[in-house]
Amino acid sequence: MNKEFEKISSPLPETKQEHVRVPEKLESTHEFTEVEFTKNIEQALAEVESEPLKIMTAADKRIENIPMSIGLNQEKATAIFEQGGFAEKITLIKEQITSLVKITKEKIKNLISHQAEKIRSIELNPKVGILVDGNRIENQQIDIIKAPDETIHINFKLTEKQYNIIKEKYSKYEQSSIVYGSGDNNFKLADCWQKEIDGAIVKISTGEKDIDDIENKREIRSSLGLVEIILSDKDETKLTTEQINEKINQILNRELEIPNGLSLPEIEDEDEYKKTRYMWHHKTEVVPANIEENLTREEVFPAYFTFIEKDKHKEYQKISPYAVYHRIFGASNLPRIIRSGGLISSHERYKRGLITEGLYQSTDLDMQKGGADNVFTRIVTEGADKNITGVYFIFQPDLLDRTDWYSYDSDNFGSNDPKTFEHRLSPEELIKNQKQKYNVSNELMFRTGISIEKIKAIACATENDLWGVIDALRGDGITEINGKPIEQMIVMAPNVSDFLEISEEKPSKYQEKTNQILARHKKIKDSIIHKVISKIVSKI
Amino acid sequence: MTFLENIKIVEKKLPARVYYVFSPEDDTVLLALDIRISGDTISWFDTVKERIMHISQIQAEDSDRLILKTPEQEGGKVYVFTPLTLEIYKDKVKKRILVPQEFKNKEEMLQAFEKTRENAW
Repeated sequence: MNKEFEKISSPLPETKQEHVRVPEKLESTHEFTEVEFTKNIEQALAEVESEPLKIMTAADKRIENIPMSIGLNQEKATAIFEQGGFAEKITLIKEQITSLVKITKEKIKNLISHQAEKIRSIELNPKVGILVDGNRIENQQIDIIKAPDETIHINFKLTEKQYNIIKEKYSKYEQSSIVYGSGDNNFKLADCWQKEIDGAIVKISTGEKDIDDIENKREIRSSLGLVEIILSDKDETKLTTEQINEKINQILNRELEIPNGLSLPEIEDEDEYKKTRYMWHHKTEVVPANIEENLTREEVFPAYFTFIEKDKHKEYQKISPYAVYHRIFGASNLPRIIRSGGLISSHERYKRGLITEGLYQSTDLDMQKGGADNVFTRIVTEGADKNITGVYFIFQPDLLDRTDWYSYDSDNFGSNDPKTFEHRLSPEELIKNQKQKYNVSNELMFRTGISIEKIKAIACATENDLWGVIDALRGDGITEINGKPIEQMIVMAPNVSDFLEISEEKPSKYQEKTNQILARHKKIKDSIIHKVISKIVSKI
Repeated sequence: MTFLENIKIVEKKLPARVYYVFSPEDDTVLLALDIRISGDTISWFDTVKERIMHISQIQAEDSDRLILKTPEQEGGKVYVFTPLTLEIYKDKVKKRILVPQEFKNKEEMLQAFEKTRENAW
């Protein structure tokens, strides 16, 4: 069993605390019930108003039930309700909630317009991430992806408990495959069970895949818990945003037994999830009292949300200064990475249709071991000394404020196989261990992606590397990254110890080296131009 | 401190374009491009990402293979690197890659694997 999977998705209480309290039936005088009714309705409204994300139908129902539950005459209750101006207040709150729902719908609508336009050049299918449910969907998020074959794919992972329930339910249905890509550009991720519901195809991953000449199936850890819903988006059957919402809701409710469907996670569920996440990330059973306030959900990569523990990195820096980095293979890949908004995990890229010929002969080992859901990085702490080759991204130290990463002291292929995963380190352990003895093969795995905004510098080991980067970026028309000219982002750093200073706001001396190289190059170029002009002039 | 027991500190790149990697103790390895030995570490591109491991012992090294062992504290695993041939591809590799292809000759196969660098992020 995947520990991450187990922990992030650890089961939460089945019965949730009610947000709008319904009082016990009272045996009291008529006057008392009137006072009680008014008090209760005010309290209920105050709660809904303070947390407008509550489901309005549930709130309505509870308010309607109050008179009956306390034995108040319906007529009298209506009079109090109208005279007290409660009807207007409820309308106002409903409007607020409706506007939130509209924002969600708008997000889906926008799939077809500007996002699609923005990322067409890098062949990534447009996606929106929508927050949903409390405890049955991993990370409380579903992804809606528009594929070029006129289909809409809704992807998410069920938490372990829910996955087991649904697997059992679906195991009687037709066997099929979860396939990424379309046309000739595709590959099979895993086997699945499939059911068609009113034109929508629901696929539940079996978590494994059969291999042509091997009888035994192979586990595909990146597909554990995976659900894919495919809707047609062809002109003749094109669905409106409302219809898409309705379909997803219907499937979530009826098929996957997720009663809250597309509604936003309730506050209690989110708080519970924060605690679970904290325990998973810090590898601890002890949760600080104020964790609900300290963890905030942020969009850390386009359409991907996770919890942030603000300024936690400052505590890590007290253990040792550090730099988190990632090696780039081939400067020619840089423009694509930058234009797509940052580093993207392989599973996310495949899911979004980025399947190129260059991928065909890649191994599927990272899918099998679960590392494919993450972007791989490494860390260097003080005292490290190791010459490097190639090109690296160096990230802002606050990248470690994210709570969706895990780490190992040495190369473990980012595996989340339970036997390996139990040896993962807490952030503090990782930094302490690395400070004690730097291990160049350490690894930190960040879920889904790392935004371009977190790139502090591009470090090059040699002058050749530097020119490779400059040529690749200039050649693609990229002159600025994060608002800075590329020449200020690219630094010469032949040793991992240099990464520390670059990460610690001291990149100037490294930029100076870059500037010297650029100046020397300009001088040589000018001199060549001068010689060529002289030759031409002399011939005239 | 170095993990190496029996060789001098070296900096070198292994000559073959693509290697088949086998380890009886580690099923996360299969292919290696750009193998580089730097001091007591070996690194390579595995068609998806960078792998780095420490070396405690080089058990054999010739034009046909490299056999090394990692330090005990990192599992004491043995890895065998062999230049990739069409036979090895058909026998050991093909069934473990994303979109398996047939190749007419070795050159076509090597070029296809080298193309995976374009997909590295």
